[in-house]
Amino acid sequence: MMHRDDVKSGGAVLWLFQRVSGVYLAVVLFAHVWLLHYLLREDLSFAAVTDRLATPLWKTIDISFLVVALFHGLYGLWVVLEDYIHWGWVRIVLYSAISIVALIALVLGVLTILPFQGGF
Amino acid sequence: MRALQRYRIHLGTAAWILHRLSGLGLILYMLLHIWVIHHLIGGEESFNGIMEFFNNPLFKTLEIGLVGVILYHLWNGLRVTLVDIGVAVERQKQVFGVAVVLWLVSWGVVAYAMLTRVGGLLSAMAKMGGGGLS
Repeated sequence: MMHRDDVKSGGAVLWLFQRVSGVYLAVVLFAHVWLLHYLLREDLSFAAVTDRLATPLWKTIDISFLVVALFHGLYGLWVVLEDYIHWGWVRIVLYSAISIVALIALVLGVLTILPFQGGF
Repeated sequence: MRALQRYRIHLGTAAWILHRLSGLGLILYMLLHIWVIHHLIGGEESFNGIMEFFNNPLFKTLEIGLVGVILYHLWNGLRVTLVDIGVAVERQKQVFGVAVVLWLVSWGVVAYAMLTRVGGLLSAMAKMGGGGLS
């Protein structure tokens, strides 16, 4: 569907990454939702969330989840926009906007995941 | 036969458009989710404040819809990936059918879990009916 364009612009690696990251996100997202909405059979309290975030394993999972999800989503958005936007300067503006949004979300997410300590 | 072919193309195109639309929706949700959860940095009061805003039947219902959108994107994405790597290309119609069934069944299972868990939609509605908005 979109990969012919990708290969032309040298994006075969990105095309493959989009597939592999999709499979990774399917697994991690399942764990994320299952844990938050099924195992924790109570409202999401500050204590419950920060206890989970305080463990190094969850920190690692959540940071990889954040990075991969942001890349998968915003690269996907870029591929869609490429199909409709054909003017050079508009592409540059949109590409910059997507990069800035990705960076802000990444910083905000990392700042949320990192500070909590005391887990095992 | 021609009608069948056209139907198949339309189905594939619809799945493709829905994949893009669900992806756009998921980006918006992801950014909103990151912004909401970042309230953890501000401490318990700040986090509970924002969570209280979303803790009502409207958002609980929207969350069940969100799961449906996620699972559509997930199963259709896996289906497209299988086609791309050349698995079961000659049986695309069956793969499509399986993806739709998996989508609806998995959505049903997760929706049931979300509805019935403590703090889920049903208990949120019971709380509203019993003690008003709190």
